Amino acid sequence: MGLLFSSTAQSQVATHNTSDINYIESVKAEAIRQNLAGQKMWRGLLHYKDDRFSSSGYSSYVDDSNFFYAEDGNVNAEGELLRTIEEMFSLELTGNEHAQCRFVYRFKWLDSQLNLDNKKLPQQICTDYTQWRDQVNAHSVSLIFPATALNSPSSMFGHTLLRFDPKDIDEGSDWLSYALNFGANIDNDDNSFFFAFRGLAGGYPGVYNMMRYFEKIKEYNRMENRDIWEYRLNYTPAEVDQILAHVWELKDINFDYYFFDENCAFRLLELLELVRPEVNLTGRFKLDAIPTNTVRAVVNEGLVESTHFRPSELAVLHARIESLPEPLQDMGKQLANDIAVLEGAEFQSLNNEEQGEVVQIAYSYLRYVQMQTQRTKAMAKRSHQLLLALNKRSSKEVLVPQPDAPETGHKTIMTGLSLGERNDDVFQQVNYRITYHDLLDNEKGYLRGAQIILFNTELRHYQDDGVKLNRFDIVDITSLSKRNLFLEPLSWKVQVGFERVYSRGGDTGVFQLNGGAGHSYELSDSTEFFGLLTGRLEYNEEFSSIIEPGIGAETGFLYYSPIGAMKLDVGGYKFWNNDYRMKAAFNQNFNLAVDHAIRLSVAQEWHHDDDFYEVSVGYRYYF
Amino acid sequence: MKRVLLAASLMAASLSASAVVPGGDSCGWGNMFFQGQSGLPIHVVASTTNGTSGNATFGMTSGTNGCSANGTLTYGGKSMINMSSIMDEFAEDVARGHGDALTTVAVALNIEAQDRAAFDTAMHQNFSVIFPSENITADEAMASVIKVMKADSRLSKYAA
Repeated sequence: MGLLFSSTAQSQVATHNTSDINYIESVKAEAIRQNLAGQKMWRGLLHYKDDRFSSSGYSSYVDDSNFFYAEDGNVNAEGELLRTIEEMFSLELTGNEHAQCRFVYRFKWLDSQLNLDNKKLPQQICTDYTQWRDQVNAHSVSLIFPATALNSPSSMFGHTLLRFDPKDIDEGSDWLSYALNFGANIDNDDNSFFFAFRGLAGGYPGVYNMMRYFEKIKEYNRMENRDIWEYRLNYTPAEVDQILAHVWELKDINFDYYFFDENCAFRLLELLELVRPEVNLTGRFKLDAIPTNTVRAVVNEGLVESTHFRPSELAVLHARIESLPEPLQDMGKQLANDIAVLEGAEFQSLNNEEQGEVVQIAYSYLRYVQMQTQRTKAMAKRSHQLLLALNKRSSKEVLVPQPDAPETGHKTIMTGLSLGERNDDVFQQVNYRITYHDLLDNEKGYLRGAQIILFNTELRHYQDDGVKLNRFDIVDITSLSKRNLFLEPLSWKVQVGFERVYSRGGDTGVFQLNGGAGHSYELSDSTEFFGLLTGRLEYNEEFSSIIEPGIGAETGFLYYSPIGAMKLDVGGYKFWNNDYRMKAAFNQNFNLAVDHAIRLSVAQEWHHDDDFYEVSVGYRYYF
Repeated sequence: MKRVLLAASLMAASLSASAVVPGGDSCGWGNMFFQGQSGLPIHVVASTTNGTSGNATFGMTSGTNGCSANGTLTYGGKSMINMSSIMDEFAEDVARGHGDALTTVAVALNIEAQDRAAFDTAMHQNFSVIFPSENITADEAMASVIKVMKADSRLSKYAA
């Protein structure tokens, strides 16, 4: 209403008299005297960071002129401070558009530092802010971490957001709480690949937005099948109020967004730091702000009061399926496709509780299937019939065993030292991986079957051959998703990088891209089998063509034992030019501690002109 | 009545004729039972990890369904939040007699803690009344919820 009022009723803009102007100037002088512009709080409120390319030596993460009153406010802390003070006294705008209402936290802080004279300040009624703050009825705040999901590359590291809960949340419903999300504001038309690419390159502006938490539960728990970890923080209601006062200032404000550092995780930590300056969260990140590290930082700073695990719908369905004997699983699958199973003698012979479970898995499965398809009359009718059937039977809650929390897992950067032998040549090797987890690394806190490696480097030294780059993987991702009676996900891998290929004449560095797709199955709780059909493109100076394509296959077992994971696999390629390579490998990880491991590796390779063996043992440290 | 309207909007996107349809048909979120997710996976892939696509919401208006920029969902002149998307969850919880969606609707209806079990039971026993077929809409279901509550001695005060 404020806008309407100001445009119609106030045809003439009031102006300051001399005494007002003198007062405002004295406030500005006092702000300079106190060096408010140099204070941590002001720098935090304006999101300044060190920047050696800026004339002032710093610049703001905010990339939006609406956030600053001074024209050079993004690089001039004092200029912005003085302009902000002037605006707090402005008579030109009223209500929601006024600086006091637009920048609630700045106003509160300046008032507390400068003890502003109430009689000189134009009094404002901030309807929008008050209404919003009333609606976001917050008393406590939780850090929310939807965990890794492999089948969407842009979510492979997980995500973080904040949730604001009302006072009586324990007897209420957190579905209705508000979630604060920071993310790239992206084009609907972009697909996942371009998202990742543009995200890395900083091609999207980042913005905050808020929505009811159930929207997020649906998005992550249901549509993306990601478990959600919820960490209630020990922030007081007053601190929560301060966070929201600043969040309000960031409404519709564009930030620079970079996938690796200036991402969701980093932005949320800034908010948590702002109102509690003694905690150090953002300073921990030099290279990356991977969401698990955000969680780790928050836990390590002692900010977490309690932890809650919210399993994905898929995890619940898996748990339901696995709690039933196989004949009942079969019946559930049949029922999902054919409602007549309800009338069959087999179903009728079950007790009420068993019937309820069969109907429940049939319904849950149907909903899972429906996620990927349009509404069909037949499916909707069957869903309704299943609910009617469920309504007449008992239905119990299923308990999904809580896995180890993500922050208890190994850290994300890895370096290793190893010693090995390749066809009688002894070598030493240094290994450095920027992030994140391979199939054999300690699985505690990580998703089993999910390998995500970015920027993995191996430098190798042979006694008589100097130091050579043995491999450099830019991206190396493998996703093994188990299939069962109900669910039939695809397993896949992609790897891009440089590697050293050995042959009789010596060795050659090649650039290669390979990938594959196939199936994997769980043979027991600790054993997985996988098989993939693969393809490869290679740039190899020894070859006559520039890019040589090859096709192949790979198969193997993974065994997760208490001492560490083991992988036994065989794979190979045949190139278009009839060159071929095969390799059989055995790898065993020994988990010494969460951040320490020993890796043993034995491999035999057969190339068209020679064969090789390689044995190595190495120490791995995660930090 | 305000609470009742709020809860109704929890389950209905485009309500009655008087409602402003948020986002329109292109939105992809119908208000019918067991709506498929046509177009949604792509939307989700694009917005995954990082939230918004197209328009940013700030929890201010009711247009929080992510497909209308300023689609304030109104019902009887009141602006409401939009939870059309929990209709399926609510139906399942009513069928079973327990669950988060059921609690959420109870909270939105302002039902006090000591009456929640009565609410769960009343809903559970009247599943086939509230959801008589797969073709009913969210506001029809909500009207039945209110009817069931009015007929219940402990719940009638919340449906007034």
